[in-house]
Amino acid sequence: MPHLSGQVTLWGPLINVLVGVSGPRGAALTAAGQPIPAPVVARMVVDTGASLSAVDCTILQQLGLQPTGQIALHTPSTQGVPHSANQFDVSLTIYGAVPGSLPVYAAQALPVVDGSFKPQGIDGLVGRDVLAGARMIYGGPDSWYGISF
Amino acid sequence: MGAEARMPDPSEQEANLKKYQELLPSLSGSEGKYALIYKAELIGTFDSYADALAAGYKAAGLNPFLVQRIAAAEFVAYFTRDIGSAVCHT
Repeated sequence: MPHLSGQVTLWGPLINVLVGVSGPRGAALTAAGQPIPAPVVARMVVDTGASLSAVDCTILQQLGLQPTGQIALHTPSTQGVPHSANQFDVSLTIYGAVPGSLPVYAAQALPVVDGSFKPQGIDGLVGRDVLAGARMIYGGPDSWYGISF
Repeated sequence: MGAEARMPDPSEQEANLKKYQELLPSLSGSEGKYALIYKAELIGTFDSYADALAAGYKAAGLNPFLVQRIAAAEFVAYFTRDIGSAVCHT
């Protein structure tokens, strides 16, 4: 079973994720004679408190994306009233800890929510949409975590 | 078919969303599928997000379209962490 491990840091379990345009968008860009933006390495927190994965707005801008969906969401600051947020289609790839290893997780088309995470010192959240197919061990005493997909 | 990109117009996506909300009662038989709306018209419903997205880019090229999961009761996502309220102008 593909797996990886990492450190539990001040921000939580951190994971490097490759965020790119979705497969269908990549095909549309090619058909339009436009270059496909290079995927971006994003430092994201594995967050079991997030229903969905979310990516910092600056990365979505870097990829030249536009919204392809909308969703209602609650956060601590929405105070019980759902807030409408845009969703963007991306590809999301997570590699194992060993350099040159195959991806442990790869989605060619995943809807993510935009957010402002840079001020929090991270680039986004890996939410339960991705974790739905994963098993995770949280090694608090050792500041370690492991995930298998 | 629109392969050429142009500057996104937010009102187009608003019109797509409005159309989806208008159509929602008639889509109750397709709950769990994904609706594709382009130019404020229903293009079709699809079993998976990836299929709807692929059809969207095929129909609209790089122009705005909307993919929504069909649900009688609106799906609400929860985040225990603040995700920032800035609107992402891409």
